[in-house]
Amino acid sequence: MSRSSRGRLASAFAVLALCGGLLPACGDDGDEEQQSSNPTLTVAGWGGATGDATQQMLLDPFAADGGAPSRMVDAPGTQLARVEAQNKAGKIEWDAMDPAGDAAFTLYRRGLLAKLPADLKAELERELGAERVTPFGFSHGNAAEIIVCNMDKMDVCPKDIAEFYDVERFPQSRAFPAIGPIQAVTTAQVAAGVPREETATSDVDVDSAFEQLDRIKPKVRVFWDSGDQSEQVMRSGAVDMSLMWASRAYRLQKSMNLEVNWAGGVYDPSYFTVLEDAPHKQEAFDLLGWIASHPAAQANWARAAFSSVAHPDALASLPKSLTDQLADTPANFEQLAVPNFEWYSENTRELDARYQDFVRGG
Amino acid sequence: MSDRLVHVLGIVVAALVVTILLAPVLLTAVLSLSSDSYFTFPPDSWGLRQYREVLGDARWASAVSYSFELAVPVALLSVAIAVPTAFAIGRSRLPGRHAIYAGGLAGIVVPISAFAIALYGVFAELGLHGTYVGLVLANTVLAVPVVLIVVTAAMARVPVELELAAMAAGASRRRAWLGITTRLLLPSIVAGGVLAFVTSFDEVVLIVFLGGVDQTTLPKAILDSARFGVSPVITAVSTLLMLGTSAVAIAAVGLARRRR
Amino acid sequence: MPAGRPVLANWQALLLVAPLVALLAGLVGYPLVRLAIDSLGSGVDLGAYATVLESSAGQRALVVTVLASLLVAGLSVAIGGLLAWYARSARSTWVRTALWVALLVPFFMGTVTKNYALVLLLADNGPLNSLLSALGLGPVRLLYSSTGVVIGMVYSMVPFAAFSLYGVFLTIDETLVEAARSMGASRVRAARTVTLPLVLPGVVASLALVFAISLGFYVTPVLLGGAQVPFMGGLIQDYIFTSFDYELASAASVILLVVGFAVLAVSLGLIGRERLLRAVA
Repeated sequence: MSRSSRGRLASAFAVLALCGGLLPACGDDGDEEQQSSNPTLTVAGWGGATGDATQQMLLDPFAADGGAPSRMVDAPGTQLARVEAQNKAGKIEWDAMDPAGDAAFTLYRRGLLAKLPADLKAELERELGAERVTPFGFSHGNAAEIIVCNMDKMDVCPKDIAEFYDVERFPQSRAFPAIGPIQAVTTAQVAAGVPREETATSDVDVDSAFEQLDRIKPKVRVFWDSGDQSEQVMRSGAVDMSLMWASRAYRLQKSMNLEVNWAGGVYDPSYFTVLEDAPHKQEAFDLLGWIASHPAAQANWARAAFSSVAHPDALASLPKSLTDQLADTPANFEQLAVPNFEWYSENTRELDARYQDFVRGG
Repeated sequence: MSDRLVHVLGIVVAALVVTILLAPVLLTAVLSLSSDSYFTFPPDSWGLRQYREVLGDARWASAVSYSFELAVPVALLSVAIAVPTAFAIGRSRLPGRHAIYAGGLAGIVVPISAFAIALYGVFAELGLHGTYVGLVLANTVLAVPVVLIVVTAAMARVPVELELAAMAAGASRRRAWLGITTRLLLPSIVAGGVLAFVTSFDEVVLIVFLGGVDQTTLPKAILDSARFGVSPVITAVSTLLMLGTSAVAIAAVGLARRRR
Repeated sequence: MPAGRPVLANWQALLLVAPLVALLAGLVGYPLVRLAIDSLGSGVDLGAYATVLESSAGQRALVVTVLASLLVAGLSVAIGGLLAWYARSARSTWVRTALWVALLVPFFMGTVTKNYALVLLLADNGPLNSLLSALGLGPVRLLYSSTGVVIGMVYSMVPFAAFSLYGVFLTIDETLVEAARSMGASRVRAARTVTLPLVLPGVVASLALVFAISLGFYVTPVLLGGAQVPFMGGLIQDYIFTSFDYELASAASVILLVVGFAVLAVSLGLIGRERLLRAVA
């Protein structure tokens, strides 16, 4: 390459660099996103299709109805850590979010979630029923972990949790959740003899629960820590049965010969909540109230996100082919064990550490 | 006879290893042409569905764009820091310069997850967590060693005679020498910058620990999709990413190794 | 620096290195010091270390990480060395180009795409297992096991080791080997008695570097090993994102750093600074 053309190459590169790199650097902060309407509320969610559904079926109709314009941010799996980080930095950036139950109760105990005003709480209980409402929010986007068997590899599938934990009768390889300690431990509680209806209110006997977990550990070939992985290991044949999310199981069922058992499953709710010290707290409370009192919007969301909602009218308006797969449908819900999140929020560190040892330890 | 045996054996093993090294690349490219909505091998159906989906989805486009927004300043900054350092190390007798060179390589040598946590604590305290500036600085630490190695090596290969001639002939001796050497080094500097760009473009661990929610680079988007997402379009995304960075990197390495 | 090179004055050199020194001090030195201090907690005690090292998860993570990194270092240097040797001594440009491409493409593939591709390759119903089944060697369970993680890490590190050793091999004077052969030694014998002692320091350096880098791996153990293959990187991730316990995370990080630096320091003592630096390039 001659000297002059080399020089031209260098200057072309420099121009490209300036256009591509430095101009955004001047004003961009990385956290801001240009929206055509200036959003007020920031809602943190799981991203992907669920996040899209929330934006289109809940946030936009809320804005159209006179509420504050809102936008979604994606924080899959890291909501607890990010809120804690924002708190540590002294600057809460989010207004609302829909964390999983264990994270929600823990955040509330640490004072990071806002307590619902009394009148809002009363309205929520009126619309959704008292058991769907907590001091800080209502259940939304609820999942369930249920027993799923690959019937090409097995003749009989465990009918309930006691059978899932019976490794003599069912020696096949299993997949078991690595995440959500309290949900997993709840199944162990039932295996240890606690009646299903009482798990939500009984304190966890940690030693007896882990005694049960240690029984199945030799047969747990994979501890899944993402929905995708739980699907992959069933599909690839790495495991013959699994305790996995219902939505994933039904996706798999379209291309695999599976048996799906709700009996012995565990309820895995998420909660729509407002953050304490949220920049726009009142608007966020309004959002919660609106969602809870608009079953049609909830139904649209459930259809788009393939996830369960709390409002009975919403469930009633959905086709049976969908509600058969949802955790809040009465026929399904009454077979599930509900975790004791209150107890968990008081014993988070101990249970997390113990479960981590169970999964990762020898 | 044993000589030939070793020779033949060596070739067989080398060929095997080359195949193994390229296998994952080929597999990803092949699977990107599957139209299934889940992973099986061999694919049940073929087609360009994945590519159509990727190119039509704004989320991937914004991930690519953010990757560029980070990688370009990182490359420029790394070059601006590493080239002067290379001059100081290669053309001076500064005491401690070798220690400085070793320090400059820290970005490669320090275990990256530990380094991410170290930055996590400092960033949280200084409010740099989730900021553009923070990510640029962190990535620069990783990219500087790359430029430093390339340019230092090239500097050692510059013929002495050219530099001495420049110094003897130029009106201002030192400046003439600097001009000549820099011009001779230009291909390596550009190559180093490009390699720094690729290093930053591909980087993911720092983003996971230090990035805010809106800061999604392409590798982070792929990782999130692999762990939390559902659609297998990431084989198409991965193939495009591989082709892009390989082409750029190989060109850069070719540029750096050019003999006159 | 060979005699006769033009030289910058020391004060000029100092100005030139100032940006790097500032970057290192602020973004490497200070954070590492901060990390060590934070890991001691508010009361300056080793409680966090005790928690990490006494938990069965922490112990297993440390053992697995160190052993796997040793294995990875050995394998990568062996395979990378073989390839580098071929790249150096191959006569046909065709072979050399093939080797370079084979090394460069994985090197610049990017961590996530690389490991994701390996997930596809090593899956129970993936192509590798299909091949093995066809050969009668049965499906082998590679994913979600330490074996899979080691394979993934070796895949990442072989190019690095190859480039590092290539540089070392370049410094070997071919005439010494030819002298040995002209005196009747076979290729193998010449390699063993002449080349090996010359490359040994470079090999040690590469081993130490690959080991240190392997300790910090995060994406490979997470994608290929999953939750039950405990690696320090994964454990640290748990501490931050699941338990939000920065103190435990920093203690675990310091442990990693200490192990890594110890190995590098030992090799520095064994072979000297210059050879160690040469092995990085």
